[in-house]
Amino acid sequence: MKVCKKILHLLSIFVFLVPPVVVGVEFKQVDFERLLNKHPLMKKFDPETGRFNGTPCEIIPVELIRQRVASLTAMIGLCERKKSDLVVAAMVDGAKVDENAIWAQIGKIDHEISDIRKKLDGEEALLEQKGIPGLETLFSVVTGLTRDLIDSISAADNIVINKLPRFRSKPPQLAGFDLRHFFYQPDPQHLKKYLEQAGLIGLMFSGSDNPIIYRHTAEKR
Amino acid sequence: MTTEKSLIKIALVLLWLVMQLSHAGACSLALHDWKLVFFLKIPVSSPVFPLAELNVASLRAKESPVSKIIWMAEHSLPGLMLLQMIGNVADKAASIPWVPVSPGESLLGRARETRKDKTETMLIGSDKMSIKIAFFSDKNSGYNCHQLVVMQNSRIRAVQPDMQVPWAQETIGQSWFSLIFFQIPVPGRIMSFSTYPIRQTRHSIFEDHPLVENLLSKKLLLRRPDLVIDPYIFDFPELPE
Repeated sequence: MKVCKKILHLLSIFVFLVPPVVVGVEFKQVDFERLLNKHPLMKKFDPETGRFNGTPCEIIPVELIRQRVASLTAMIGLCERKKSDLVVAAMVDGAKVDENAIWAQIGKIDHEISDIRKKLDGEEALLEQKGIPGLETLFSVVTGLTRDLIDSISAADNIVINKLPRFRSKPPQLAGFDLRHFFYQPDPQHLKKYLEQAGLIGLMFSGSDNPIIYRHTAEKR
Repeated sequence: MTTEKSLIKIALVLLWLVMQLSHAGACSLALHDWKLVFFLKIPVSSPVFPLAELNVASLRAKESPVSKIIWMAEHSLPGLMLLQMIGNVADKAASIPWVPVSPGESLLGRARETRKDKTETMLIGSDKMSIKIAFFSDKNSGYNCHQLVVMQNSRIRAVQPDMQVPWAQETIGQSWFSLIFFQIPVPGRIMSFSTYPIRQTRHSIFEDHPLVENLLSKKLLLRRPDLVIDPYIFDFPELPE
């Protein structure tokens, strides 16, 4: 009887401990949608534009960019005036001035100008794109976001399986236009509409209905 | 004297390359993974590639009229030759008369004297110069594709003592040329020859598109995917200090 009890006791330990060890090491099931919504960056997501506010992919109103350009240009003008005053002092006061000190100040101001000019170049480039940063900026943000999610759930050599499909229904028809038409009719008009809706590109693919499987080691390559 | 001879040799090689190679459009078909194989930094007393100086003058000439440029530096024949050579092909600022003078007195002192002439003279001073020579090999091509970069760094101070809008600037100038070739640097194996800065940007003097296409088709070079953007502004990694 005692032996039987011992066997049952050992079996109960096996039943409770072994399955999590066996299953847990090999696979991990997660709900990507829930994880995605929990990520701090998703609070910045603007569904209307399909961009993340406060990140390099954010769409900026043209008027605001113009104001920034004007402000940065004024800052450069101010720096140039400071340098101009230094040169005037060096010309008028002649031998009394410490030329090394003047050049040190000019060098410092030029460094400031260089920093401002870099920002100005960026703003002017954005203005040319009518305030819409290139898709590469969006890809960069989304890549970082995806990496964060995968890193947070994956460990060692686990395989991570999405719990539920992200999209269970057909992709919506945006503004009365099914974006998938572009693939069947390579018409420039379709391409234009496709690009306008590029932020929602994920909705176009029927593959989005399928569970997503990531292998940790493959992602780390 | 030995340095002067070496500089003349470098200038002659540059001259030969410019004369040999025909002009072509930009090309970035191949994706390179450059690994630094060799690096050497040599302090020099005189400018060899005055392209950064030319760039400073060019930018200033856009803002304000410049009728003459007084260039204060320890001059060398190659630097002066190259300036003349570039003047014919590259930049409007090179067509402004450049007066090379030795750096005997201070730039601001000289500017004070020049101001009395009431001309639109600009003064440029170059010092603290060094030449960096770097040799890269491309991992993506199985280390068969190479790039030679020769870069000159210098401190450039510039003044235009016009009393209405006096102006001065201090920058760290950077000029370089880059030669990309397959296995050996001989005609027929040279993929591109470019230089910086010409009109404020990298200027491709020569690119052999058929050679690059041929190497790509034989998978001797890795084709650049459309979405891959070169992380290096100048097509090579930053050189060590």
